[in-house]
Amino acid sequence: MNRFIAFLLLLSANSDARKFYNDDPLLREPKPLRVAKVQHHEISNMFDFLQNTFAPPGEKQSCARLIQGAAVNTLGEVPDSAWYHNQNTQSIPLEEIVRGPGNTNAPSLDAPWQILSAKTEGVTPGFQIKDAKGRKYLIKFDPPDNPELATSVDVISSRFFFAFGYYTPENYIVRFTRSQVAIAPNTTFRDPQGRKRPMKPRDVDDLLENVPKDKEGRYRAMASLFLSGDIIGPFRYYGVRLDDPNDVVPHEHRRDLRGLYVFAAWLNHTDAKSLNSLDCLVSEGDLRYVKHHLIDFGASMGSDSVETKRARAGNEYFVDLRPATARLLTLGVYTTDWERFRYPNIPGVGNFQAKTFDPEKWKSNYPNPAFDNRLPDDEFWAARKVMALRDEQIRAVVETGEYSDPRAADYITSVLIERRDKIGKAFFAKVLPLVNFEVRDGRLAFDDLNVLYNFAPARAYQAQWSTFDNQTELKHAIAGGNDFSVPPALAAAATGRYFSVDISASGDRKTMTVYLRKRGRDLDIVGIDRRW
Amino acid sequence: MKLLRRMIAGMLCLMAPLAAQVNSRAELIESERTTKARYLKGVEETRWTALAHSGLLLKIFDTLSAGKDGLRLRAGGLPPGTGFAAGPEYRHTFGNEAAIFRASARGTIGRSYLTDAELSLPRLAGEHLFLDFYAQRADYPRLRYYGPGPSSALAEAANYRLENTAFESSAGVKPLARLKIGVSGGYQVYNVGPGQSHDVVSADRLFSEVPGMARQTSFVRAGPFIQLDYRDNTGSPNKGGNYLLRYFTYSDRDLRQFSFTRIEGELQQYIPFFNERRIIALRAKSILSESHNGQFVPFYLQPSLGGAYDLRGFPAFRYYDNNALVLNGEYRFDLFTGVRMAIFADAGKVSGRRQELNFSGLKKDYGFGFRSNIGNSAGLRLDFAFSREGAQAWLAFDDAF
Repeated sequence: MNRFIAFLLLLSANSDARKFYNDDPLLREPKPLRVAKVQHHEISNMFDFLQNTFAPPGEKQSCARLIQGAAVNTLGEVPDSAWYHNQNTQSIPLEEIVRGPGNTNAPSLDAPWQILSAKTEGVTPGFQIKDAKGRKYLIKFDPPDNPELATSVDVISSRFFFAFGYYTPENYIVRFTRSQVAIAPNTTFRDPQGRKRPMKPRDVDDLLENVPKDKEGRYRAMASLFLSGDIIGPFRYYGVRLDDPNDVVPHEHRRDLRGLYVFAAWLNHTDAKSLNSLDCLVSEGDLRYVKHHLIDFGASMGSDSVETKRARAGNEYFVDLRPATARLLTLGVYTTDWERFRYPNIPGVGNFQAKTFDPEKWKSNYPNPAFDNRLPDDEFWAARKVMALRDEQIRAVVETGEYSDPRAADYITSVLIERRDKIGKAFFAKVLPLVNFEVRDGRLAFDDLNVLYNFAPARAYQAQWSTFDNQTELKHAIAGGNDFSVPPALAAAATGRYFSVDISASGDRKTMTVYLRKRGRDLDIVGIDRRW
Repeated sequence: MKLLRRMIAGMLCLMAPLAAQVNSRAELIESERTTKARYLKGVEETRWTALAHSGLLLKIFDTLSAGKDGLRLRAGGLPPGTGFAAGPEYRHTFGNEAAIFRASARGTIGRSYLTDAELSLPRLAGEHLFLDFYAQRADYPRLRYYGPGPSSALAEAANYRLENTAFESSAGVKPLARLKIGVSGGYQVYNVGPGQSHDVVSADRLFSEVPGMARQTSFVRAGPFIQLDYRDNTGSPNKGGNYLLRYFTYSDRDLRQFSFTRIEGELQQYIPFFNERRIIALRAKSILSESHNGQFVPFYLQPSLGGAYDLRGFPAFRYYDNNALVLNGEYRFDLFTGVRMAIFADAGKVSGRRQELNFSGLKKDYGFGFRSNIGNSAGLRLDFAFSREGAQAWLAFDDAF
């Protein structure tokens, strides 16, 4: 079914081949088609793990043909869509990055919250509640031995992922007493033994029994505001939704999902899997479409939601045969630097560090088809956004975790800064990290991110200007066009003509091409291709 | 064919719009969406995909593993060497684990079986008191016996049948969360009969003089115990220790020939390093028996060594005598999540007299094994062990210690 749709889309795409259209680069995808009917589906945690570990789904990269990141514009950027919204992370004011997806809808304490359902699986309990204003929230708690561990990272990471452009829920740190929670009429409850029955006040007491309290005797929790729209289940990191006409790019090739690897690595969000995503059928006026969200960040940084993260997390998959074989053959003598690392004992932080963090070797808990398909330009796209975060922005977002131990915020901030810089160094080295192209004073100007972030000294680049045929994609070198000055011949070129500049550096096989289109007297940057 | 026809029809009706020119990137995207929209049937996934994600696997896993209330499959739990045991187990929890009831029936194809029931009240008086009741009926028709003492010969392997009915109870206090002090006692009926194995001779033919072989009796046993258990989890510990000292008086109620006292001591220590990726697990265990004036310890209540839980390089129940000492060391490391490897060495001995229980003349073995440890509980264990008496392979459903 997926292949058939892909085939049809291929036919459609080939019907009018040209590299650039007049509206390139597209900053926003066209309005989605109205979705009439979609199916709610579930994803089984165990099946998802087994499938991705032992029979990874989706189209994979091959040596013969690299599949470029898709759902991108001609500059390699991800346009605004139902998956993604662009934000310039560097220029986001502090109050805006702290606000994240929203900070004005914390659950009201004016009247007791009504418990609609409760989760008892696992070590930490959870509630679904309705507040006095009728808003619904998911309430989650910290592990008994690690107050502030999971609730903080859920709040912090939701803001970071929102800043990077993903749709995330509004998460709040809340404190309440036992009298703040009541049971809504007809609330049923599945007890720890799996029996479903009406919920009683005693059940609430039991659920709260192991929840850590603060000095004032209040419970601390994370309240996640329900997403708007009808919930239709998680998205998969491969294929497309068969019932959504707007979902035409296989997820394993979406740049926003491939690049998510870098953001997840930075935040050590090892549980970046389908089950921690959510599609909602949302309405905007007459329009109904599927909006895609990331949810549940309790297993990021040093937290694994119900306990501190184990040293393995972020370094090996649950089932990772290569290191397992090494340990088997050496009878356990083979060790890695992350196994030997000594974590600081800060209960609210858990096991999180930057010293042995290698951005290219980071791993989620089990393989993710989109992560596995990532290419250097997918990584570069994301790494730019991570590097754009300033120290004070990181600090401000970390403080939304409301740590009572000042060491926790200090430590996490310093680790995130160190991990950010490692990400920049690692992924800027894999392509020519030249950005911010514009024609200024008769020259093609740009910034070298390696120089901007002091990763490497400035170096010389070579340029070759060419005319570019938009239909055939053939290039013809322009005589004398071998530096960054705009060749004089371009002045006489007609509006709509295309030109390209091939950029290289001596001794480096990485190259890139910048495409320009004549508009009156101006030259607009319309495309960028990076090669490595 | 029906699907093929539908696909061809769909393609034909799509050809017209496909041929249309698009003049912008936005139009191109819209045309892709329109193309897909024409084909949609409102179905998101196949029945197989839906089934795979329906949670069926999780339900099967839950059924096979411990955790929730209800009926499930229980494997293992019979003495080593009796074969693979499995059967249904029912569990019911009252309140917030104020009381837990469990009952099971497990058997092997070799006709060994164990039925048991247990009621635990672990959280009395705010978790400061505990009370347990346990009852079992077991029949093991082919238990091995090699004769008493450390010098018993492998060639003299025999077998016997042991039937056992027991009612036990224990109660005590928990002055600290990790410390238990209590008393336990119960009534036990044993019946020893000819072994049913065709491979080796019945023990009553070779060892008719051994105490307990010919005459059967019942016991009342009682005694105090103290346990300090600060392991991080009891199923598959990574760190901490477990120290147990137990004293029992066995009183022969029928024959007045087999009364004795017993002291059991066990020390377990788990030493993690490299972020709990490596664990040194150590155990020292000793059982001392002292028969009352002129009486004997029946052979089936003597401590034994050999098998999946102590001297793994020796056959199950290889050595019996009044006293036993065993030392185990394991180096455990995760191969990957859920599968752990261990390299181990065991040493131990039995003796008739307490004074002979020392570190000389220990029987030794070594080996390696694999364990599945999902969550914090041990699953399957496969150990291969080697001693001067040959190689042994053990399949069990819990850790050796």
